[in-house]
Amino acid sequence: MIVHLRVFGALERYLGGSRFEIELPSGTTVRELLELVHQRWGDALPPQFWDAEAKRFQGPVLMMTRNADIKDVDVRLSDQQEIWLLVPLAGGQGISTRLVEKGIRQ
Amino acid sequence: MKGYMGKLLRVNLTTRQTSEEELDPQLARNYIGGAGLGLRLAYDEIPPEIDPLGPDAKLLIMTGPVTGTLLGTAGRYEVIYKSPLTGILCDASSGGHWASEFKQAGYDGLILLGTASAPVYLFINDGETDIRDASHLWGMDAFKTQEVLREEVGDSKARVLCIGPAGENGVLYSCMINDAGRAPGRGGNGAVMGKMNLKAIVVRGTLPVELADPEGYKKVALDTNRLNAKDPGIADLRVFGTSEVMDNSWPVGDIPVKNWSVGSYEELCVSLGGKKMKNTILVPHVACHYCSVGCSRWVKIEQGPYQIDAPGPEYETLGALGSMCLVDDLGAVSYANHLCNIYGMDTISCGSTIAFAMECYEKGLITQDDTGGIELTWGNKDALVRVVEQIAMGEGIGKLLGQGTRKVAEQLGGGSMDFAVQVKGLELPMHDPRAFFSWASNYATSPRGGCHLHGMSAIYENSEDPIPEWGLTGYYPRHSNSGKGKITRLAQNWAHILNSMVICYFATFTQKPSNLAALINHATGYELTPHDLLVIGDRINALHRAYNYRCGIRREDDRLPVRSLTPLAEGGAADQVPDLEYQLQEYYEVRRWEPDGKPSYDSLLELGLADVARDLYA
Repeated sequence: MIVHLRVFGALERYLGGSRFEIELPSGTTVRELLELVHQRWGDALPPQFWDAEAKRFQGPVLMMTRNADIKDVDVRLSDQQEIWLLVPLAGGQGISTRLVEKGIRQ
Repeated sequence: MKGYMGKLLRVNLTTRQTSEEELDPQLARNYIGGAGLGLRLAYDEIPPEIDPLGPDAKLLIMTGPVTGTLLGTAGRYEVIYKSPLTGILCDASSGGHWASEFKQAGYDGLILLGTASAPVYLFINDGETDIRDASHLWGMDAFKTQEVLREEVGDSKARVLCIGPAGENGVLYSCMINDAGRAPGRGGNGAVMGKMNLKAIVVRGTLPVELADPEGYKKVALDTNRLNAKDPGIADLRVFGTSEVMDNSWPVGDIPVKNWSVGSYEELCVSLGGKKMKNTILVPHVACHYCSVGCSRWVKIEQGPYQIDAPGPEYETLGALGSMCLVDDLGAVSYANHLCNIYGMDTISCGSTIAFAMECYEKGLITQDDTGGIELTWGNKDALVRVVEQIAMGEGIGKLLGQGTRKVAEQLGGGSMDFAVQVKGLELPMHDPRAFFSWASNYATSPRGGCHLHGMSAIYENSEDPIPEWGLTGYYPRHSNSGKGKITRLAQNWAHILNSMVICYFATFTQKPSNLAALINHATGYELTPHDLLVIGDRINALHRAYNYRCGIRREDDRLPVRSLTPLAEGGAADQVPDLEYQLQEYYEVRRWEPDGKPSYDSLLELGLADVARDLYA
């Protein structure tokens, strides 16, 4: 099946584009899609947006299907489904500073 | 007093007397500066029953302990006054460089009172204040006024704060303008200044701002600037400005369209977005004081009916004058923004009022007879531009619309109050409470009316452990109500601290309360903790609420318009409506407010506001 990944805002810079067509086996879950995100873009994504250990987006990043937030990562994706990744409002309280304190970034 | 100049300047425009007053060190410690200090002085000096445009009105313009230092955005000022638009106490903030120059002229704040017998301007130059004739400037637009006054005082480094024709004509959402197109936009401070017959305040200062620990401060401030420069969440603000929100936030339904009645309109939003601006009309521009974020825009349009070479629109403006009115032409919106700048008007209230008028026109509550033949239809960009001009000049339909949505709805009736999207008379900013539920309690209780800059609560939603230092841990999905009252309190307190230091939100997305405390402490020599900042935020909020309570504000005024609680049919906020009552109950509890809406007696005593407690509980 084909899943359409659409990326907005600052995330475009790290994923290298705004639209991706991804071929996946039928029955793939959101969690498995995130595993693929990790393999493909995990090194490029900044720690403010991507928790490499947990293999998930974090902070201000919102993951949606068209018009609805994804709340359950074990839900199965369907053919031609759109997945949106966005940072709707800039920032995220003190995330950068916390990462500095943890030695994750300078 | 390290971090402060230690003096306030008082100018009586009626008697043309000026005087200097010592800044009370304890007051500075208790309120930091800026908004907090100004609100305290206003509470003591401006009786709540006065007419905001009457002879007893005052304007307080305040800086903070970091103003004029090398911290990014520390060139901002706060203006505090009783708002003619809302009838309650308002504080509004403006960026640029004016405040830095003013502080270095020797003052932490300026208290303006009285009415000049003829138009005047002030020239404050390293501790010397001149009241000068401004008859030749009356009627002049705000950009030309800045240019003429810099020439007149003979110093190209002088900074000018002024009003345009809208302030002179008493538009209730007119505002001051400084440093080209910067503005403390909200609440009608321009009309107050216009009533005083005060056209402008020119400042020039070379005095040093002495800090308690200059080296320590320098390190913390530069670290902050560097962190902001590198932060991935902020980087796009530099590239696309706040207009990036147009490109990125429509999927969640946060952007209001057609007077808050349409949930999603991708093409419209993208046509007004940061990418479009960057690829078409954006030209190199200058950032605010030492700012490493640099969100400001400058645009140049060389062909067609909307030719300008001027500051460009930011997100709120693109929403209010653009998506709210269904105008998808970036050139027209940029031009309308320019008109608001040169005439001196708040783009949020202006655009929102025009969008409201377009809906009234559609419903037959406003007719072509009222508009003088203007077809005030959705998306009519020429009508938008003409009506902006009429509002500023107090002509035609502009005379009515210059009063803001609440007063217009009161006059038109016909159920229009349901879609007059304002709280306490202040039009809502361009973020939808149906997209991020915390906006609901935030707008309903914001101390100056519907406002996102007295608590940017939505940034704490969908974010894990938002402010651990203030006890806000956990995760708060945007479409839930639990915890949103608590988030609102802390978001508002955070804003009170920023507005009292007088720095910009965008310079602090990377920061925690302890970072802000470090900046204040190195500047002043205080030893404030994150908890102290929380308490100071509570104190400022309680004081502001107490003033508004004395203006007649009660629990029933902490509400949202019907339109904001009506489900949208489409988009990322479809079928979602916040439970305002639930959120308010939580908010009242954490704020320790009585059921009628006043801060509890005990909480006022604990916040060191015994005199305020006596006023409310006499």
